[in-house]
Amino acid sequence: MLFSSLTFLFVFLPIVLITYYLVKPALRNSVLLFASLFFYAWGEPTYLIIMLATIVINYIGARCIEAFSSKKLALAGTIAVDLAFLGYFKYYNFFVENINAIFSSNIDFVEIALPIGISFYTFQSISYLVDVYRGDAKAQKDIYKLALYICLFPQLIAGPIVKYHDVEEQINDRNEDFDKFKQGVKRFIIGLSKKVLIANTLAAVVDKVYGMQVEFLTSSAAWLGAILYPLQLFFDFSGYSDMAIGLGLMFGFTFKENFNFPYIAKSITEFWRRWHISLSTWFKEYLYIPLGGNRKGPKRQLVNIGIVFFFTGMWHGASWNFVVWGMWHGLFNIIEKATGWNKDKESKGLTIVQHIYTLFVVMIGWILFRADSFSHAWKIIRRMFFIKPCDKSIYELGYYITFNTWIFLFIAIALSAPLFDRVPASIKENRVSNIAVNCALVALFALCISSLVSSSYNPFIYFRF
Amino acid sequence: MKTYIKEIVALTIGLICSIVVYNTQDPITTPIVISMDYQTQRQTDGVQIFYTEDSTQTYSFERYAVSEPVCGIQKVEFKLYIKELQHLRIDFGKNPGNTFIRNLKISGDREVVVNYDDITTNELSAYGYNDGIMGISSDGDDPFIAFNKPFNIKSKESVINRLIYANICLQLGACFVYLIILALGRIKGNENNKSLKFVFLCLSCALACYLASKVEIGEPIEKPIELSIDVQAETKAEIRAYYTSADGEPFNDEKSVATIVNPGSNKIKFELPIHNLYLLRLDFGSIPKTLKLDNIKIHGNSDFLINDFSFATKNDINKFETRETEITINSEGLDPWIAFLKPFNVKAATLIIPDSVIFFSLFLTLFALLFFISTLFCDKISGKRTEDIALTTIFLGTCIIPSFYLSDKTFSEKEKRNLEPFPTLIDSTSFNNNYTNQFDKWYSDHFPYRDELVTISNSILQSKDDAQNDDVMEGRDGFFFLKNDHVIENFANIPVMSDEDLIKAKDYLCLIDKWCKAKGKKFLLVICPNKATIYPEKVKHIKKINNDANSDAMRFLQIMNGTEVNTHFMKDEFLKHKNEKYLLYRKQDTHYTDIAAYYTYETIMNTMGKDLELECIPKEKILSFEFRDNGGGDLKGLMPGGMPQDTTTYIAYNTDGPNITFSNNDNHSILTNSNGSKRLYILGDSFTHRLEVFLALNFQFIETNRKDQYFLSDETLANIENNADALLFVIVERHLSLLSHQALYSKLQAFALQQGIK
Repeated sequence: MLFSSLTFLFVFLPIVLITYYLVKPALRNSVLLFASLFFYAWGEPTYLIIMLATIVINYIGARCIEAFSSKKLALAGTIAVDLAFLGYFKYYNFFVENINAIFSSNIDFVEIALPIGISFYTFQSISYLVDVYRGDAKAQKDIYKLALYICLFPQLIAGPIVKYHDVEEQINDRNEDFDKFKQGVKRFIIGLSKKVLIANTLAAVVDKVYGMQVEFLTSSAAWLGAILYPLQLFFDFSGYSDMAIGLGLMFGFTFKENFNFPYIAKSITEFWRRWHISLSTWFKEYLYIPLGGNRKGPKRQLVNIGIVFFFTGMWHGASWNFVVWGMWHGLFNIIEKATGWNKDKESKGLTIVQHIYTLFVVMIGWILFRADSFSHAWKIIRRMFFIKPCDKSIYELGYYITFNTWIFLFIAIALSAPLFDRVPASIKENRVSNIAVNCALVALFALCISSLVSSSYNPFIYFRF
Repeated sequence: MKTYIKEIVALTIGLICSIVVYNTQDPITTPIVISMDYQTQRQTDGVQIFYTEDSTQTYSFERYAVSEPVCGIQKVEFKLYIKELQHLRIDFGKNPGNTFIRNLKISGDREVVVNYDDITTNELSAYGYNDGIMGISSDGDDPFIAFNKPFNIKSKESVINRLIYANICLQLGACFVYLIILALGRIKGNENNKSLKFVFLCLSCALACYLASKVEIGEPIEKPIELSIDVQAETKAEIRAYYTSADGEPFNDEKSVATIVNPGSNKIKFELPIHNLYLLRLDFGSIPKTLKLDNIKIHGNSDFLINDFSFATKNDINKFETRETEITINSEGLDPWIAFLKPFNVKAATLIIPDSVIFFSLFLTLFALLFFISTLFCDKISGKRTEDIALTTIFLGTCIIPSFYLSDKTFSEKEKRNLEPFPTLIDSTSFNNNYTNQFDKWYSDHFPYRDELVTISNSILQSKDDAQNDDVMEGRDGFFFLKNDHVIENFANIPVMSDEDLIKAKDYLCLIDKWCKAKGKKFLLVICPNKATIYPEKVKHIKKINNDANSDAMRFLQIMNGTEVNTHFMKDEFLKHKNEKYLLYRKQDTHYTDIAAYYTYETIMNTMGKDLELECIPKEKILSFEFRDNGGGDLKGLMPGGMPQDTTTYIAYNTDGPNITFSNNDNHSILTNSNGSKRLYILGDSFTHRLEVFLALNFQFIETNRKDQYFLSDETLANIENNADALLFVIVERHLSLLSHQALYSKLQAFALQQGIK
């Protein structure tokens, strides 16, 4: 079920909210757990078994870690099972394809559909196991509470990846109050608007550009796609995160932020401190630091960064595109680390160069990320830089982008920067501002509903990962 | 209890007010709607209906309605502002030929799909009901069908609209009483805030209800001003009413409506979709005629009978006589009209609250209730701002309410498709694995006011003058173009068909040609150009990268010219005529208009027709009916909504044409009443539809086969062999690539070999 589906908004959410607040506080976790399982089963009932198996395995695994003397073995064994699930469902055919290509073998592919959100809940499970292993958290004795952590529906299918030690207390005991609820509603509407009004509008253009044979693509159209896709992805994914955080607040949870205006970063290192924060901090805590981080010397640190970004790419999808995309970011992270580029240097001229450099690297990275194949990405990049001029293009720029989309594009660019952060607190906290903001949110919500009803274009990009 | 005594008193009195309103308000606010898909290939006058409101009444012109003139296939809708519909009769006008009715529905307090089990007919030579289509054939003066069983359908919203009025009254009444209580000085200190909230609440709620009733979402908000005239005509004539709504506004085509009158007595009605009628002009077409007009009435908020003609201005009128409410005119001029230049200032009649208001009103009422409860507890939620409570309430209310108002429609008129039925979890014996998807679709399909929301969304989010979706793109000057089916590649002259494909297509047609020759039949291939080929200047954002010689059609034509197949590509012929008065293609449709179909007919007559000794009929004799594309064409249908209306005037076929018997959509035959003796078989796509009307004037029998165009069955070939003197193959440019399909070639080759053709 998608947050931006009519079934979720008008059937599932009201029923769950009403039930949640009608039952006694002691039963609220049960309501949420049941709702989360139903939410997951709605998308693909069959894979509910895999999720339940993951819950049971991690429950037993964590208890073993706590109980056994050979904690490392119990940890490694349970993580191996988690990764085995992920590996089989997500990477099996990818490996077979590569093995067949390298060894000219003929191993059969297996028809497997990717269970929704498996990358997210597997990482959450690993977070739980490692936290227990490190002693940062106690093994959960109540399997229902663990189940709630792993499959809590607001962040189940597209994050943010919530670390166990961040929500352990909230699962056991949390306060629901009007302030949180109100903030949740506001955040949810903002997220929904980002997704439905901006990301979906830009997506229509991006799909046209990337769906076009490169022979018919002009340089300007290639640039258009290259500029719009990063914005689409940001508003899509951050919109989803906003909705997840908003829903969490409605049920009394406080999730950490997942985005912090990534496109204003001045380096790739900073970009990763602002983009998909829950993933990058997960990799930092559960891979980079265990690998030694920066404690084993500068050379080893660079290798560790490379490893982290290799797996970051892999996590996003079973395709060389994603691996290359991860390595592309890894490469610039390494260069920055090696050259000290990412150190703060306060010079206006340099700041502009830093912004341009970061946006350029990120934009090229997103082409690798979005293109159908590596060769497709390469063709688009060549077209952007006139390496191979286009003589077959019949489509002018107006074919791809209409006047309204230009407006949305400028809105998207404006909202990618923290403009509202610069508004003085006196104005923000002003009663009139609050009324105006609320009126705007009501209007946006109404527009989102009409757009959702009329639009058949609705899949979330991050479902794939 | 004591704390809220004022509110309780106020609401109680408000409730009494609302009960009074409920019981006195005129309950008839929403019409009973009769709708049907009406198809006729030559009839130009409107569909007429007679109805009765109770069983004691008989059919008369007092209970009569007539539609706009119908041409081709059109959706016809009647809105009857009556309490109850008992009996119905549909009249087809004089000499209607063949006519087909589909989806005849009556909507009131319930929706009835009308069946034809128990009907009385008059002057019908034939009629039949098959596969949801009622077909009638007649050459009589007064053909009709009357439904014998009473329908007993009542006006739907007689109760609910009263509730809406009552609701407004409730709020206003409560507010009024409360203000009186305040004025009496019974308010105390800290109650001010709460009291003001309550007043604000009531006023805003009433205002919101009122504003909601003004929002036009799908339905008209006011009953249109109606102009009715009793007309006595000698010949068939067109009467067009031009109207203005304000001082200084000129008469123009956009503000005009027309209808056709038949010889004899007619009662005509025009609906004028304006709020105020200022001036009126009646035009009588260019054909010489004598007309008697009587009882020229304007029905708005008051009825106005025109009985003073001293202020009427005339143009091209030879004779103009008046007697009380009657005028007689005779004209031979080109543009006869009379204009009533004294302002009428008749306003539209009673406000009609559309269906959508129910939703808004109930939503607002619930919102008001939640809001009020929230504000009462406001003090208990310390430091909370009312606007945040309001936002939360609206959010929750919006999420909860729609599920209670899901539509029960099974078919979407707008999308022309069946809506998803409610899924079953267990199909006979097995679990329905697709249940969740089906549920999502069902919910989305039945979401309240879905069509209206789609229209709103597109009106706001879709670019004006630059709309497009996956299938359609808007060009210049209101032209729409298809995007798929290789139309863009054809326009840009990018070859879609390889040389091998072209040869396959050629071989296929050569084989048909040979087969025809072997059987002694004439064969002609006609290729109709895409709209973009004729109006390239209207296409936006696409550029040609090759010259026209590289297009599939020109390459194919070049190959075909090297064969014995008689081939005509209509491009040059159409380009020759494109700058004439009438457009060759409908702006919001992929197809050509009747005038382009006529030029195609002319070409056919000048080639195949000559061989068959048939004579082309001059266009002046058969093309004279002007019409507007009110419903929009197939391209408009592919757009989600909010698209502009096409106001272009087109010209169409208008003569006593052939009778047409209809077997099904894709494969139908035409019987003509001409004196011709030749029989024609057409293998053609949708471009045949308008063309066959003209061909039917010359041929005694025509059978059109659309279904088998690319897959000739043995049965089809046998049919051509036995029932036709000539075979016409009609194909639009964008479908040429379909000809290269290997399967059809093999099929025909096998048949040809069997028939001994090498």
